[in-house]
Amino acid sequence: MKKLLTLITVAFLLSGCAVVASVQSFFPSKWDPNEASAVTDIRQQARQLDCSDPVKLKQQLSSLQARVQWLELYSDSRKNEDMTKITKVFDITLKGLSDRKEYSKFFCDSKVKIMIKESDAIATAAQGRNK
Amino acid sequence: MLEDLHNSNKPWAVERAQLLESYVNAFQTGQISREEYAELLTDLSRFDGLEEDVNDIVLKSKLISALELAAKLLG
Repeated sequence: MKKLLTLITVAFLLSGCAVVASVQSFFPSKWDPNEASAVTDIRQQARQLDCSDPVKLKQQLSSLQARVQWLELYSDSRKNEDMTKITKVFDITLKGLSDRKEYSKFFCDSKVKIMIKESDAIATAAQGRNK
Repeated sequence: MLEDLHNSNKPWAVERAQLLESYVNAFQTGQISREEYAELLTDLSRFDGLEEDVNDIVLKSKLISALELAAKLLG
């Protein structure tokens, strides 16, 4: 009987935790000035990427990568999982260009276009949250 | 199928169709490699997922604001 009660209690606690976790995942994170600032930097830097100058582009991508990593780490430390998740998507797109040694002009231009769109979307999320 | 997207009157769908067409054209004319082509298609598909997540965040935030306003009626 005691064992059964223990089992029921554990099951109840576990389901309680699951409910809390699911409720937490429903609520979006709150607006954050540092995230808003980082996202604006990322939008601006994405727009400045210059595919016609590979040397300059390499520096620009490195700078953008650093800002994206900053945002990822900051959002992660704030436990803003929704922001971390969408920032990681941008990071994947970015690495698809920055990690390449050779690429065509069309590919570079297309990656920049999609990065601009992604950064705009991330900004919509970051700024659309409640204070 | 792309025709449907063009005729959809949805700006996002028309934009996606244009991007997709440009990728197909670039691949067929040898402007991009097979690997680059595959990556661009993956990017486009991943972007759809990103937009869904963004819309969720914005809509949930609006829902919470609406609930808070509604709760104020309770005094």
